[in-house]
Amino acid sequence: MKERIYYHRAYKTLAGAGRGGVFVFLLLVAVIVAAIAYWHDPLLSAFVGVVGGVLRFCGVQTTIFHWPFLPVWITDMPILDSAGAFPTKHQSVISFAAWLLVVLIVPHLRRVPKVIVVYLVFLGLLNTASSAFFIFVPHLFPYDISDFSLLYMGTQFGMWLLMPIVMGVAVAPLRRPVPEKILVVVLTLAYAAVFGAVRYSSFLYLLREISVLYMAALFFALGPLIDFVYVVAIYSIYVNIVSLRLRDNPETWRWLF
Amino acid sequence: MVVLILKIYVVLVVLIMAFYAARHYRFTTNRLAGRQRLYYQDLVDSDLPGLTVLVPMHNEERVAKQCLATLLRCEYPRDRLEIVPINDHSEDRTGEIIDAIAAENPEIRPLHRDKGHRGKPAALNEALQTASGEIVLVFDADYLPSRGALRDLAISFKDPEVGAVMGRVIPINTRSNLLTRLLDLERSGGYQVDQQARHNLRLMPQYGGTVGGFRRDLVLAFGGFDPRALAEDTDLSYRLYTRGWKVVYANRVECYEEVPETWEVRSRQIRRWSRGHNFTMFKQCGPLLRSKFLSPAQKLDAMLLLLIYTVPVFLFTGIIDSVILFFLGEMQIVESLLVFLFVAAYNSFGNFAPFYQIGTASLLDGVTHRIRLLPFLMFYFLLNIWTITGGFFQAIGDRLRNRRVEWEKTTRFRKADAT
Repeated sequence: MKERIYYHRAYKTLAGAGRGGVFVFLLLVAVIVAAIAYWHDPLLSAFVGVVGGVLRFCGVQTTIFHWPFLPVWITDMPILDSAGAFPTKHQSVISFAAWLLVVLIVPHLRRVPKVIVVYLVFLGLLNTASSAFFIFVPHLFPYDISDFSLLYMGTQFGMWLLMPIVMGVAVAPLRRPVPEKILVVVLTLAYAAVFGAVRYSSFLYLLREISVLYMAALFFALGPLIDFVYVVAIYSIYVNIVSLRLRDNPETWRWLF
Repeated sequence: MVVLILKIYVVLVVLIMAFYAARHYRFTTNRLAGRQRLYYQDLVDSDLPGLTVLVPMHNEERVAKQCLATLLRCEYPRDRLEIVPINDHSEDRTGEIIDAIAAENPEIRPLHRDKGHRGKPAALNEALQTASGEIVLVFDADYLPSRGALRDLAISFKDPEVGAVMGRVIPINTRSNLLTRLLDLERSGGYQVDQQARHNLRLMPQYGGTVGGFRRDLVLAFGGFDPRALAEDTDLSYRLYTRGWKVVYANRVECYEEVPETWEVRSRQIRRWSRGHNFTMFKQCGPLLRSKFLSPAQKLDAMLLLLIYTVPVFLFTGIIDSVILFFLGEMQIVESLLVFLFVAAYNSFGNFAPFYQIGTASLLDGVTHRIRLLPFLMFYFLLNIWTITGGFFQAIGDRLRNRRVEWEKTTRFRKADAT
């Protein structure tokens, strides 16, 4: 038996964060973004230094370079360079055949869920295209590890700037204390930095030790696509916490009745 | 030149995504803390309109009995109610089950169809010819309306400007597996926030073809449902709006449905919706833009809604575009940043409702731990993009060849038809 029965959820609303609260919060988010933009050089250098250290620990030698990036603002981007493993024709043919088989066979496996099928086919098509590239026009492949590093670092830095905005805008309307919401944004950034470092070092390790043939798949299937998963994951954990707190504080609910 | 075009296309896709993200953010803030517009459930009138409830059924032996039993329990004056289960070319025991229930309940008047074209629009058209109620409500065979649903939906037609009404759909088999839980989250975002916000903002809540209804004479005056349309509901919504009628959303009227429990069935369902919706998109774009009854804001929102199953096609081609740019060595600085924006945007939108919209809806619904499944929606967006794109090209084929589409029934999962 319920102790108390509330009105129907159809016209339930929540007390909003208030314009003042939203403004202060978004202003602080803007300050975080501005700080990242302003101190980009030490941040990026530290990031690259950490990744280089991790790779050195794994026995992979890399060199830090500064490459021209933008005409203004970030004129030099620190990146890691190393010698990538260029596939032989034989390796490319085997890879082409193997991934083509994945593309052709996986859709017919009834026990594999359709979501996994689509993802595997996407991965398979990328690798098939990449293998074909290395079979027919290997000299035209436009990237070496330094190019890939520059692409990765550019994307990574873009994410550092955009993530606080995405997360900030998502949690802004919730009526929670501003410091709490700022903490969520900062935690997301911290996670992005750690995850980005792990991923960058893994990518460079794979490209150097296995093959640059998988560069496209790494970028498209495990690149920025995956970043959004943890943004949403952190958001969902936070909203879950908010929901549990609201359940215990029904006075924050509003109804039209 | 080609590279420039490819890059412009990526930017264009990003802009479209950003626009949709902003639209859904507006909906989210409106629903969370904005001014809500009430439905008509507070109207009290003993003079309720004559009501015909249509339940199209094709091989629905698993669910038919429970659906009809639930409808029979609904509160509505019996002298003004008829329930018409439409046995549409069933090859299982559906007809038998319907007849058995009809024998004991005079308000149930079955319609058995074994001639003519099979499919929901054709079945509804035939049933409309003999329906006695001035108001027609439609329920799919797996739906279980709440007791007051019929009265609450029918009362909206006391407003002479209302042409159609739509209630809220809630999955009944949410706990079956991950997919059903994800679909529950998606439904929550779609109804608790999206439909209600559009109702609040006087934009365009949509008649969804089930848990809703319309004025019979109006639809007959339109010539009935388009038998070529797989999304006869969207088609009707736009026909009403462009002629100055209102479609209202009843968030208070909840009805339980069974959502697909396998990815295979879900992908077929989505493909069918995409095919039907895009067919309607090609058909209704012109009338929408020419309509004299809609404000520019309403037209814009209606257009965005009409394009909702076209956007994944932009995304799909955008991904191909990005891969081509990658192999051409053109994924440089700006493009790499755009890719994130592009990805962020389509992850926000790829599942029909952005994550913040679903999070807000769950919060309002009082959902707690299930919200943590939100990142799993990622599993789903590539599948959506793929199947919706497939449906889009099928719709182009349908339109060009003017072909009539065979209706594909959604597989049911209910174990036993217990009442």
